[in-house]
Amino acid sequence: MTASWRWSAAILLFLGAGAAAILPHAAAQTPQAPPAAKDDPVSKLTPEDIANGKQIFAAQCAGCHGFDGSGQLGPNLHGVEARRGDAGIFAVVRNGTGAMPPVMALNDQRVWQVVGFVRTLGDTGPIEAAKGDPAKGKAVYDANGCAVCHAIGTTGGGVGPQLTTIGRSRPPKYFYDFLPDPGKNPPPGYELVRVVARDGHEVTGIRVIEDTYTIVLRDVGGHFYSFDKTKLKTIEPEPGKTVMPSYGNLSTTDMDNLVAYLSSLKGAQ
Amino acid sequence: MRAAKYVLMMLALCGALPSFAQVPYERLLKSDSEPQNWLMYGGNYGSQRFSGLKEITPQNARDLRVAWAYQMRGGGVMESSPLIVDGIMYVTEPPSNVTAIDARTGKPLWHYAPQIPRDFVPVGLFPTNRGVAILGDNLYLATIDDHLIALDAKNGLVRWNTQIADKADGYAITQAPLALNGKIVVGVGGGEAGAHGFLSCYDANDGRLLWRYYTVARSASDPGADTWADGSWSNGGGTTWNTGSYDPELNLVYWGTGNPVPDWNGEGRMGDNLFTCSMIALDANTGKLKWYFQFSPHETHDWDSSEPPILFHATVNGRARKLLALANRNAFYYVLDRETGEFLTGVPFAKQTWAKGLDAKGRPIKMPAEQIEPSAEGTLVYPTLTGAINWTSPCYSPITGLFYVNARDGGAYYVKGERKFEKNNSNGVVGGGGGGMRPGPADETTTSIRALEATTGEKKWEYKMVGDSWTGTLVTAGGLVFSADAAGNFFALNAETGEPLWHLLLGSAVRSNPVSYAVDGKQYVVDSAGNTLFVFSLP
Amino acid sequence: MTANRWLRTAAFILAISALTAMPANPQANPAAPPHSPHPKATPESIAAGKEVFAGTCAGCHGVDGSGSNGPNIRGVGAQMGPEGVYARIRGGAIGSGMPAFTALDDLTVWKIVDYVMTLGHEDAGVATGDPQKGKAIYESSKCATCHAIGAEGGDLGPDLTHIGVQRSIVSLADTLNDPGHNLPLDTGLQERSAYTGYVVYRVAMKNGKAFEGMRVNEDSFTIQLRDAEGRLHSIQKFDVEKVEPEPGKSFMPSYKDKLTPAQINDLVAYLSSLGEAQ
Repeated sequence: MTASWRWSAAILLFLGAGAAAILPHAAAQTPQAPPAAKDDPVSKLTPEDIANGKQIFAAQCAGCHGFDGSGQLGPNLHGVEARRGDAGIFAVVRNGTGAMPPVMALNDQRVWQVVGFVRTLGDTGPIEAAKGDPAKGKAVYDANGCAVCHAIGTTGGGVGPQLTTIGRSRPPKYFYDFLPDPGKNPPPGYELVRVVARDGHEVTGIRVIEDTYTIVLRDVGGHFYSFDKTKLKTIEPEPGKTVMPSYGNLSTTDMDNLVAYLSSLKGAQ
Repeated sequence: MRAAKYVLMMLALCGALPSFAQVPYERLLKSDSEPQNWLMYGGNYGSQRFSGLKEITPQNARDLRVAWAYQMRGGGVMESSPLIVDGIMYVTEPPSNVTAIDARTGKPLWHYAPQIPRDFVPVGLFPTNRGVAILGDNLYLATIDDHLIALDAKNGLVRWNTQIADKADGYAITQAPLALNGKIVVGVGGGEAGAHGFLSCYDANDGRLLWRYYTVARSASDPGADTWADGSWSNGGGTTWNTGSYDPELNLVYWGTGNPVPDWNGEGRMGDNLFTCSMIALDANTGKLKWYFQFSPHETHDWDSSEPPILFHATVNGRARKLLALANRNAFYYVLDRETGEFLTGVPFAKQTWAKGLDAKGRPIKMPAEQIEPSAEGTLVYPTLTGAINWTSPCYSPITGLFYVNARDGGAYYVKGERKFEKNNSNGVVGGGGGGMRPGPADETTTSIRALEATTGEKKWEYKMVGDSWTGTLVTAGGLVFSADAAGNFFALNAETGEPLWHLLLGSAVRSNPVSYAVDGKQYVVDSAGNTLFVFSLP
Repeated sequence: MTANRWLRTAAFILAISALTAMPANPQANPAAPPHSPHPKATPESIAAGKEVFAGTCAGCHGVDGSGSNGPNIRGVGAQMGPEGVYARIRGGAIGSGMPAFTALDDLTVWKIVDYVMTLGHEDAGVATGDPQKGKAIYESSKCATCHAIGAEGGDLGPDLTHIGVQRSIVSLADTLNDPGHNLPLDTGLQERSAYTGYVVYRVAMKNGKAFEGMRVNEDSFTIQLRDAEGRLHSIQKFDVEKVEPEPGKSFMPSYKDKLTPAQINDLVAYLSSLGEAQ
């Protein structure tokens, strides 16, 4: 699990669930029904509308769903129009759902523009189903000690992100790209930083939190290292590196199976 | 093979064994020997809230300043008593969230928020949380909707989650659990809604229920049933909503119990109503009742006896004894022998008009009913419904031998209402009730920090404040008592004399208990005001 | 860049909701969400609201709303109006211990509102004087020097805009005859729900100075007084020799000898016509 995931989830849970006072619409309002299907606003959208929708998405949605909508904090939206329908997407943007707060200050026209853009997200090609065997993939997961750093449900470690629902927020393609080279595109919150103190000792760890005056790192043992920047000589990010090793030399079968297993992790339904 | 290779790589990367500080039971047992840490809700198993730190003294207290502050994300009031373990602070936020903070700098490290159903409205208490327990590698959190959750202390991952009670029955939990050897003890709140109170003990590793003790009879043959007329034991009450204490040598847990139901109308439940408004001492292995002492038989003013009991040693009448002191909501200060429950002393510590005194066994000699029982027009009785003290904690210094309590003097008009009540549903539409109170004369209610000689209750000094303060007290080896007034002035008093030495207006009421800890040898004092946690130190 | 990303997202969402939220009262608490309209209050709805209040609200606000754990809410109905009370029940009060009661159905909330609207509105009785004459007396007595009605008048004494809804005939007459007798509770700040407002204090400083003023606020270390000219004195108790309340005293003069009983009657009739709950 990641500090950022926890933080952001907590923020959004607070905003959505705990702070009915701040967002009264979320708490007590009857969800707004989207316009009737026969009006079919989506069919009337122009390329300018879609472009607007893309801009609104980038500003208000990408922070959680990724700029390409493939998911990050929030789930992968590719193909969501097939799962929810246009009216369904409209309703979710208007009213929120689960940990997602409603998106405020968009009039109906703008929401439809966003719907229109979201519909295009799958246009990079359908998400191919994972081709391996999830049961065999679990064996690969266990054999490679993944649970030392990752948690699924209540078992496993907390060094890396929780994988309990990773199948809902990442398509199989993501795993094929990621596993051989985790350092190329690590998720937010896992940047590796190396600090050298004025007294000479060095610590390399995952950056937990940093401000103008302090920085906190954590190591794979779960130890926190808290520094006043005045006591540090250098602070260097280590781009392209993570504490997660590469799994590039898994056999093709093992890789397919592992990806299938990870894609099957969707949490308790 | 791959796994082994990986682990070796990890070790190479960080150059150290995974060595996050564990907190085995032995550390809890000897918590007094590590004053830089605050390892459990009450500071130690005796709930003494005494800090062994000495850096801050009456001579330098005037130099205290804010080292850092932490603001909760949501609204509400922070009532949490933080734990500080090896430089990490664990604080809880309403309704039942946990945040880990770097105790040196105030930077948040991780946050856990359980999903609490939005429609849950607990009756008679704020949806808040007063702290976690730590044992081994886990934190233990009791949630407002009655779950006990074990979290990995390094990162907040859920290790197990068990349901203690059903909120639909009116239960709600705000207390910090108490960690014993491999066991977690936790009570329940919600007595306003007619729930039967109980104390539970869970296995710390897997959340299995080990034992449960009900404080009010659930059948005519249960102990205490005969102290409820006409089967009124079925009403319930006696909730165990505040953290208790533990004697490891006697292996007894001590817990206070709450009011009988309905609160202000006792007509339908004549009798002493055991074991409400009592102290119960249970065997920590079996949950069996070893002894009990009832402070307020047939109670009708909502004076729960859920204040934390303070355990200490002293010589009484030439004999060294193991003692239990409790400043009760009913305005009496009690000293009991904690091996047997024998009553030793009881004297008022705040203004009270309901009892002539206590008899030789500690039973109150109540004033005539027409003077003290709730009535339709309202009967003026001291103390108020909120009590001479409520949930916040007093403290005890083994150095001064004094018990420090934030005492409330004030009266209220107690009103009797209809006896009928309904068990709470999660809509919170009806509650236990039976009446209520109107405030007494305005401006009259005041609070004072009172230092009582611990074995006799004799008042040594008092510091009178303006307004109705809900802050607990902390006493340090450095010789200071910390608390706050109703406006949010956090202050330090000389623990021997009560002389005020320093204060700072924090801007909002301080509804919590102060604690103290140290990192790298530097002492910090903590208290929260409103939605902000303030940490003070010398420059 | 995790801290920045969630900060951005959270700040964005908060900024947008701040733009669209409509505060129902000066503390910027939530506006009422869309809801069914307020059915007309009836004796039955008030009685039903009183029952729900006893179970759900009285624990914090006291059996008659005059406060316990939570503040005194008598008279808030006149200040906030039914919509405002509805919004507060539904939305809670940010930063206080009052939760949002989202699970109560609309009709139940309106019943509570109907009951809350009656709190502080003691049975006014019927005024027998002439409100028009009373208005003239109000002006010739220069009450507006210290009191405001609407946007006009001074602020040394209580605002009278809704006084007809907040105080009974008997208590208005009583105050005009003996202003120090029954000073109003100050509900301005939640922490002061138990304070009597407008109490006159005499303060003697260590340096020999002394003066008198109405208490605005007080804690264990400071006291703030407003003198008869409206000036604020902010005092550290450390510098004070003695702080003494003067019970029964008020800066407001008695009108017992300045006005005839018939004139008092008319003035009371005028005052009790002021303010209707919206």
